[in-house]
Amino acid sequence: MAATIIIVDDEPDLLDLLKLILTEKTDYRVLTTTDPYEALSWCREYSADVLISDLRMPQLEGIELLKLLKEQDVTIPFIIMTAYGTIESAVEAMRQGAFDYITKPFRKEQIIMTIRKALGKRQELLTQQESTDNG
Amino acid sequence: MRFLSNKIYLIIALVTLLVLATAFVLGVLSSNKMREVISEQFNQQQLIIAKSVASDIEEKFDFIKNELHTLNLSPAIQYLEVSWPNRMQITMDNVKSYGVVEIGLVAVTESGTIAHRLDNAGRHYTEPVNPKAVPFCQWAQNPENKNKFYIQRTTWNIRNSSDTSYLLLAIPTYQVSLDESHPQALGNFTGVLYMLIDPYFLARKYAQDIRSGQTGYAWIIDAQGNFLYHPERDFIGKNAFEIREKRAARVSFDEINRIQRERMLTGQEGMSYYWSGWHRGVQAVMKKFIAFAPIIIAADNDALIWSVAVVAPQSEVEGAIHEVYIRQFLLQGFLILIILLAGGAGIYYESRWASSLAKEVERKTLELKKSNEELSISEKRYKSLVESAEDSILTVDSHGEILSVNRYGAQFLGYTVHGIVGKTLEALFPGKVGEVLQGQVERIFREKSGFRTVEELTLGDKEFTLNFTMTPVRDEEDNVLSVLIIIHDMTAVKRMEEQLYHTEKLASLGQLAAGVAHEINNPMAIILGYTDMLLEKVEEGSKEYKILKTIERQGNNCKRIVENLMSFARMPEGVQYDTDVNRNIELVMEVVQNTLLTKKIEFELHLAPNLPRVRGDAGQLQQVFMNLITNAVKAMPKGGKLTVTSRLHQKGDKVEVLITDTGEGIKREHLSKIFDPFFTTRKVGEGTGLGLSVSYAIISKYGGNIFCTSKSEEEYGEAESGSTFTVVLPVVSAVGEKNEPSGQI
Repeated sequence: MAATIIIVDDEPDLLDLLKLILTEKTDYRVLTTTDPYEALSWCREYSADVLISDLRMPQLEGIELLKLLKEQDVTIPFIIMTAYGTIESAVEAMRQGAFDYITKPFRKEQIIMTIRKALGKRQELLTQQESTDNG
Repeated sequence: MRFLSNKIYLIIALVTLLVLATAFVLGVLSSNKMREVISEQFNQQQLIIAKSVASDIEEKFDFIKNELHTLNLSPAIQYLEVSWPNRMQITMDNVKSYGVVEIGLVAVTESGTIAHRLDNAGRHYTEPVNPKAVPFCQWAQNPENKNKFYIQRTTWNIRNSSDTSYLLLAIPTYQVSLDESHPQALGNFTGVLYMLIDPYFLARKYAQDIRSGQTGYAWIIDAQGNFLYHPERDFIGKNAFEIREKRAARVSFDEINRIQRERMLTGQEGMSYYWSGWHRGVQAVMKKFIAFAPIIIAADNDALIWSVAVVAPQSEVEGAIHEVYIRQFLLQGFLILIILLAGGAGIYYESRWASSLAKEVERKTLELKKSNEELSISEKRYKSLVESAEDSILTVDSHGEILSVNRYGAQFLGYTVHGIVGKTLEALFPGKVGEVLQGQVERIFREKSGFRTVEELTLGDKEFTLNFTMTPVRDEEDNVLSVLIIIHDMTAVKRMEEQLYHTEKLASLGQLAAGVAHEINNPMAIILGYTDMLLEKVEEGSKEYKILKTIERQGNNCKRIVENLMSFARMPEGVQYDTDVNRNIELVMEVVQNTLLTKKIEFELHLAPNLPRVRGDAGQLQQVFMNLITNAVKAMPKGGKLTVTSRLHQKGDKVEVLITDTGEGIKREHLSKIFDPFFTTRKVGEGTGLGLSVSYAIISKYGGNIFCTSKSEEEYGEAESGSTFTVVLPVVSAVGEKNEPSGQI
């Protein structure tokens, strides 16, 4: 079954671009929304494998969304996107438990590779959880 | 002070002694003189007394004479009338108190010589006498002696029954008066009328009450030198020349004898003194003052010269003198006491005053010393303040000539302290600045108000920004004596201000950039993303492909600009804290080597070996060096020479990297702007104007500095033009800061 990628950004055009790239280059199921809370509920609803989120959103900051996700499900890797040229905010996100970061503008190869790494992590985490649950 | 005081006391004591001695000598002299004067006066008084006694006796004798004469005119006497005793009694009553003991008339008649006499007891006798026995009978019978008086000292009396020596006064009696019984004066000789006077009585009467002084007395001698009166009763009637010697044989009476013989008995009056062996009850050899006056008992036949003497012992005078002397001594003593007391009080108050004065002086001296010390401390403090000040402090006169300068000032202006004095401001600061300063000095002397200016000027070959503060130095009457100039070197401050200005500008730009980046990167991500997607869909080499490539290229340009912008905002917390400067330079040189060859630029590396590590991130430093070298290369379009030098700063706490080119240089007016973001002299598209400001931001972040000196082609010509960028980076101290990178991201 194809992996489910949920992407949240306040810019619909960017969501469209990412959806285009991923649907053309991969077979992932891609769900996009501009509402961080919707993204969060979708994670549960559609058993998402990776959540990609913008850092700066009017409704909810990416860091806050990350915290909420971690409360909900620790096995979903969280990739943060930032248009700030600075990496400080990305570093902060990774301290909070984000898996990786993507700076805008990005190359499509960079996106795909990061998601692939995240999915690998997702598998790893699921296995760990299962063994914990089983044990 | 004490010594002086003792000396003064000594002088005062000596002077006092001298005064006392003088007063004593003068006192003795004056008492001697006084004694003389008093003795003289005393004797004068005695003389007056003596003369008064003499005069009394003479007067009474004259009175007796007059009485006798009056009686002689009485017809009862002249005619021997029966009432003759009554008449005599009248006269007797008048004169018996003067020593007349008998009045008598020796009548010479044919029937014989008969004496009719009356004694002082009132008894009268008539008895015949032998006329030859009567001493004056013969004299009286001589008609020439009519109305003349006869005098004689004699023991004679009618009865010759007495040894008493009388004074006999007689006058011839003629019948010249008239009365009822004798209406016609017959002029017949009746006899002699006489009086017997007791001279002792007379003398005693007038001498016994005489007192000269306390004890002085009078005595009277008659013409024979016998005492008529003397207080010593034994002496009366005795011879004065003999009786004294009998009384006191051991005393020489030569003087009194001489006086008696030569002066008294010769009828002189005078004063003198003599030595005696007694005075009244006192038995002693003593000096006596004597004043004497003659008593002339004169009649027509003879004149008896008696002499009255008034004598008093010297002690009488001495007593008075003594009294005066005592009074004078007391007065003198009192005066000396007052003088001594006044002097003592004067000395006491003077010494008290002197001592309080001394204390006051001491206190004042202490205060003065203290204030001098304070002043000296304050002066030292100010001097050290001035001398240690890292400002140039100088004073100038109205001509702008230097009067004084502190060491720093002299050094700063390139002189010695002595070498600079006398130089003018215009000589020290040539050109416009000197003129301005001199103008202000003249104005301050006129208007007495200070002035402050900041001037940029070149001293030697260095440029300075100097703050001149000029203040008038006034005296107590508000005249301007000199002008104090404090020159504060603001060069470093100004550089720091500029640096701060750049830093602040960069910081605000960084914030702006961060916002801009977010807003631009989002659309750029979409543009570039879609372009990328489209590029896959069009044929390579087609017209559309070329268009998309252009879009992509310009998008990437955009991205790079934003990335550069982000350099301000993105100040990573030390990707790497310290690095090797030389290594970074070498890395950059490797990259640019080919470019330099292509651009016909020769290059030299002068890298000091074993430099300490500096603060900074290798990547960022490389970026800085790259920027600077790229700029240098661009400044040398026709080729040239690039020199990169690294060296340790003099103090050893900084490393300097100098990147020098021989390019076209930077115009003077541009020099202050080259680190401003977006400042560029290049054509649009050739540079963003961020390279130097980013470099500046990076170097500043590590506590370093970057500055430029440049000579522009326009100003200096092609041969000399060129720029040098100096990067100064602080050395990492051995301990503490040398942290390895904290981790990879």
